[in-house]
Amino acid sequence: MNDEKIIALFFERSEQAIAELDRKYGAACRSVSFHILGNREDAEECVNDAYLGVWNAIPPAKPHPLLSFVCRIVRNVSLKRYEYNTAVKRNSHYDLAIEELEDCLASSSTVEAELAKQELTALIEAFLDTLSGEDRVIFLRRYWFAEPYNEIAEKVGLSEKNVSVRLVRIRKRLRSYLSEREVFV
Amino acid sequence: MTSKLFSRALGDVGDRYLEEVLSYTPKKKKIAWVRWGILAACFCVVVTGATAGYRMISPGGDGSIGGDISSVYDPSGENSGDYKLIADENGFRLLFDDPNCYQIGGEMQVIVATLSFETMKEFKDAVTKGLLEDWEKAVIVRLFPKDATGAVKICDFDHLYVPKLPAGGETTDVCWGGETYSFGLAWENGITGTFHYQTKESFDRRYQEEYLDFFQKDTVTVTKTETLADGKTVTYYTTRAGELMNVRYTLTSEGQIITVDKTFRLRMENPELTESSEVPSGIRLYGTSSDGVWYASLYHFSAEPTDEWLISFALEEYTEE
Repeated sequence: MNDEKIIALFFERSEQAIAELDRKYGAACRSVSFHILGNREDAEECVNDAYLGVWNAIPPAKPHPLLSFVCRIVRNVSLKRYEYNTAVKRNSHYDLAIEELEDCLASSSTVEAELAKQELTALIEAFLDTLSGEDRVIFLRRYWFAEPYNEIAEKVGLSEKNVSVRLVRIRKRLRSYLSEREVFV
Repeated sequence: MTSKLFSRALGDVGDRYLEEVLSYTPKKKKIAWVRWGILAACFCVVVTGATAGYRMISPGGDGSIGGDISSVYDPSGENSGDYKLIADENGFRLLFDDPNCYQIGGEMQVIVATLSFETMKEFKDAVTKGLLEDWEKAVIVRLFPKDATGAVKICDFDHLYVPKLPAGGETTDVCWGGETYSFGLAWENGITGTFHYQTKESFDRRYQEEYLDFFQKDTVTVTKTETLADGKTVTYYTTRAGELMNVRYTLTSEGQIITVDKTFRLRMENPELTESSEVPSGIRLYGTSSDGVWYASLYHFSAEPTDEWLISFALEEYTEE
């Protein structure tokens, strides 16, 4: 079933919309959630919660494309679960991905106060625009989707080592990009 | 906590960035040694297959499956596959000779997690006769679950199953996700639904989470439970959506057990949703038989279906007409 038909089912308030959404994108959603949480059961539950979020959002939303819309909701729900789960332990792909970023984001306790999230998003987008398509995909697969190096390597057709080196360089560029804009000094 | 803020902000980047990631196809980097590597890999697969007693099915030949075959496809043949279907004690798997080849695929505008086919025959032929298109192979390589060796875990193509449906029902499409596949269902009177052929593991997980543990969810509050004389369990509960009623019981017929799970919307927060204690808003069926496990989700009822109608659902082996 194509995305337009699935969205039409949401507009009709038909619960079949959820069933069709799960048939088509369930595996991709579970993959996003699993990479953040590192736990299949929690991922399953977060995906179900995300479906409820999609149900509440459509209508009025009429997302195009549907997959990135759903992935975003899955990521947000999974991050909330992650924060709840990891008050005491740290063990997921997301942990590792985020720890890498700690180094290039200098410790500034005033950042949250000084910079609204939206502004930071705009800065990140501007930074992403400076990267090549391949580097942008590697960066987002690592830090948006929390995918491990070997999976990224497989998806972009590079070696794992190559992906690792690219990420080191991108983080270095990110650090200097943000520093130049006096975000983290 | 700057990394957390960064992660949150990153999460809000525009759709165009996600689209790029989801539709990204790397540039093909094929050099001479890769071709030799592929040849060597083919040789290894054949030798390993022969010595380990693999049953290897090469799409693109006569399309037959079964028997003890160890063959290598002919890459010059039109539409010939470049993968093998392997069956052994570890289950059924699909192994690409050169998975990197399909990292490039064709133009993939929207990446999907399942592949859709109009009919079971089209589905079976596409996989066993090597008729899959490049972008479909790219989806398989990227998104289908794999085992530790990198082979894609797939369903048993020697024994494919289709739903046996109550009168007037027909399947509208087949969605394939590796080990599992599902069907769209429709009846002339407007009832629609989906029917999923499952692995035992995925069925058990779903049954546990969506049936056995449903009323333990944080978002569900049970207000009353009663068991009727005919053995049905009726549960009244509330969620953010409103007040609902659930009726559960089992049906047994011809060697299969079907668990029936009906939901009725009693009072909904959303005024667009129809409320009724007589007509279910949805019915979930969980079926187990010697042929395998399945579940079906059914919607758009104009009246409550009879148990005779529900027990007509079954799993039957697919045979080509």
